Amino acid sequence: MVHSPADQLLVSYPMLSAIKRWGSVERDPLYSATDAELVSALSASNPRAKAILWDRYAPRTKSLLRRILGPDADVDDCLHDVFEAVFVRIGTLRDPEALRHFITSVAMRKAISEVRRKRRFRWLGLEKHDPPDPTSLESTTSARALLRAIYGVLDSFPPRVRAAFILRYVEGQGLTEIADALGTSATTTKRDIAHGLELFTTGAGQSAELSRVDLDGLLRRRRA
Amino acid sequence: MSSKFTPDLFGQLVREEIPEQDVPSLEARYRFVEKGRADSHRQWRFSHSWSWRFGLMGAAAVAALMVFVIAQPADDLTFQVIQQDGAGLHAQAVMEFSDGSSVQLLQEARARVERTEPNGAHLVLQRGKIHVSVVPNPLSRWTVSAGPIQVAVTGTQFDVDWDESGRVFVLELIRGEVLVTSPLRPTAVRMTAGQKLSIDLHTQSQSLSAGGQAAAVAPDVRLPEAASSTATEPALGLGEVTPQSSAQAASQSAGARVPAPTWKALLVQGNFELVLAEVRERGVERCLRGCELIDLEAAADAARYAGETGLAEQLLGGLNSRFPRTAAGQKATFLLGDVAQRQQDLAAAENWYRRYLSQSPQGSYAAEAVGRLLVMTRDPARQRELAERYLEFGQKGAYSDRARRVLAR
Repeated sequence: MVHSPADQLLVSYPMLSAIKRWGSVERDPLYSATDAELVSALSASNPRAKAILWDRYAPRTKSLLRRILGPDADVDDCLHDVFEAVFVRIGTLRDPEALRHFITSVAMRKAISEVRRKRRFRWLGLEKHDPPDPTSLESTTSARALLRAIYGVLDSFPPRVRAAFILRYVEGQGLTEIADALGTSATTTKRDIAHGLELFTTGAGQSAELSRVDLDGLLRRRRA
Repeated sequence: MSSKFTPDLFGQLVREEIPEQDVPSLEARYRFVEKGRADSHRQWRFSHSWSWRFGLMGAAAVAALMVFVIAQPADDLTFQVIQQDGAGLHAQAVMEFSDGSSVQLLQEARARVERTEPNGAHLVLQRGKIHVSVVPNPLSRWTVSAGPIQVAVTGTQFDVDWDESGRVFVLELIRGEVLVTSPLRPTAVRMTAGQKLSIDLHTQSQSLSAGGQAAAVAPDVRLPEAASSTATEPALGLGEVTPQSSAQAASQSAGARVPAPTWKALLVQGNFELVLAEVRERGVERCLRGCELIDLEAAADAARYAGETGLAEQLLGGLNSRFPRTAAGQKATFLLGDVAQRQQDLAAAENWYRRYLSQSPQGSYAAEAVGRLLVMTRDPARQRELAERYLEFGQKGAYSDRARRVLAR
């Protein structure tokens, strides 16, 4: 991970002094521990466990949050809240092997509440100013514009429907898995996905931006 | 057009645009692992269409909202300037801040407070020497700038000397840690107590001492004014400072007092910049040819941790070509792939990962290499092969879900 001098200046001394401790984390035997062992270490307040939990699951969780909230969303605050919640509630996890699902479920709840919060603020005329995520610069302009237009359509979805829709069509998860992550019944999940599909088809058909774009062609060109 | 626009294509586009493993920033990791509390860096702004909607909400809602928007968590720091001899800021004066921090202007120093914040302030040193004492606070955001050089500070004490005409900057750190950025280096220099940094912008040179007289100053005692300006550097005249002389003095004093720590030891202490300074002093090419394995490995790690990608690549390449059969040499192969991937050179990354897997198919990084190749590869047959291979390492890895999805197609 390359950080600019400006980044380093912003994070300043406490972070740099922390880095010297992280240097040895990768050599910690706990680094290759199973999830169950990691959960025990977290419950025992092993200070290394927190870092390992982050390294193991933060990249995947960040990706999930960005996929739900949108490619330009600054998800660092949400990600932090998710891991704080996981850390605080780790004692309630009955099956330590299910750590991954537990994190996904917490992330889903956070994402849904974030979508709700954004909707509220949009309605109130306030909106959060998210600085552009540097990683988003990887994308090509046309694909990025298209993605923004699609997430514009998704903004009209009820938050839970949006989450279910993304888990189904982006993450490729099955009904049971989605229901577990969202804490709903399989029937409700099925209904949510169907509702999402209907909204998506209608929204995509009505969106002026999307009607100008040849998505199929774009994907073909990118693959070529 | 809507017929082409299926949810499956949408899913495919999102998966391509937002990678499955989206590495969070170092700061985010730090906030969770070290600080444990979220700092809100959120900034709010009104959209252009707020006014008519507000009209619908009623006076009570407006009032509540305004309180919410206007409310600020804390006041900015305040400060007063105490003239010690009544002759203005050109003579000795002290700026005392409301959090207990202070800045003494010594000799002919001239400085100004550019801005204050709840947790710090930004000072501009125009010329001369100041003694800065910042009260320790993990949330501190103090900065001092002198010309193009910036010092980021939290609880600490140090002297800064800036010769505006000679473009020479000298910082002696008495206590704590600071980060210094200058146009000479792509990354910040982290300094620890007792170190002295000299930067000469004219000759484009910079030297960081490993410890000197300042290290002998009792760290918990606030320096008397006279001591801060003279005792730590009695012979320091602005015109006399050259990077060469300070580097020589530093190496002499370090050599006379303590044996030089190994690069590995410095690395463990987090002193990446010092490792890299010594690598450069020794000469990168010379080190690539003659350094021992353990030193080369430490130097490569230091370059990676400090974000000096080009140097890291060079050192890892040296490690890999000189010690190909050792664990460190093989790890370097994987890390070269990692460096290439971070620079978006996916073809090179793929080559390095493949090479690593051929060298050590069951190595510590084999599963990760297979997982990364799985993400990069577009060929379905190759994806299946990699997915199968990945799941042989275990069912719960970071790429397990992707591997299972590939096999389920």
